[in-house]
Amino acid sequence: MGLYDGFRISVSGMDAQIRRMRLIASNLANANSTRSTTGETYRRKDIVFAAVPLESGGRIQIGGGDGLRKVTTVGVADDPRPFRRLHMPGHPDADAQGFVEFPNVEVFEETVNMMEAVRSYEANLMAFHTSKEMMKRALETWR
Amino acid sequence: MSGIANDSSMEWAIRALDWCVRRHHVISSNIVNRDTPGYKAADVDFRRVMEQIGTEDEGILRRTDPVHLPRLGGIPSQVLTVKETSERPDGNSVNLAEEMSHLVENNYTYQALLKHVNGKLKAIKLAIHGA
Repeated sequence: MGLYDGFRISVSGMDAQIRRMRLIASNLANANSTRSTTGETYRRKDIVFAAVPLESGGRIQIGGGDGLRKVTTVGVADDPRPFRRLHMPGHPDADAQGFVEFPNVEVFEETVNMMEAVRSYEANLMAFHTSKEMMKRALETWR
Repeated sequence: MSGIANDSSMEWAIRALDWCVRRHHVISSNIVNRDTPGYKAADVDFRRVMEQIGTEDEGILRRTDPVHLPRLGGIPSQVLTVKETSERPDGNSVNLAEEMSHLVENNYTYQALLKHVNGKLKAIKLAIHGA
């Protein structure tokens, strides 16, 4: 345990939110992409977060369950919800009945997600700033 | 022996500072996991910390000499309170607004304690150098 742990925890959160933001950008950019590398219509992606114990960084960890958890991204999940099916017979990706499957991306949903990501990022930034402030004050002792 | 340099209020202030840092880390953990499904918010219960302090040095790494610095180990789980009730479908019990207020509150407690320590140090300085 040390003052630096605060930085490490908060940075993991900012990093995770940036990854989330990148995925949101990808979803928005591909909101109408009917083809992807899999050959299928682009499927909305969601990031999966997990709380992991803050590793001791080479120091001896005394006891367990000290309650400190940083965040990590464990993967990207495909959204299983159905695609939007639109009747567009002239479209090159239309099936035999003339339906085209569009990505299951909801622009409003992504916008709300984006706002949440920003809010979380800011909260972590605030915690980071507080860590810095505490450290600074401690260094100013005996002045 | 007791004097300006080693009265108990100084020792208590330093212990309390240590606990403030620990609490700060717990709060940071909560904020960072605001979007982690199933994560339960924790907090340091200072009433239990007070009970803990007397037995703190009896852990695995026991001090063999009182001159040694006390260990800055992990937080004993018995002083952590975990909020199990969640209002969200993913089971996460972090309330961001609450955590932000804890963050600020804890920071000010920390600063007040530092001020106290600083005052003590200033007194020592004054004793050494004179006015």
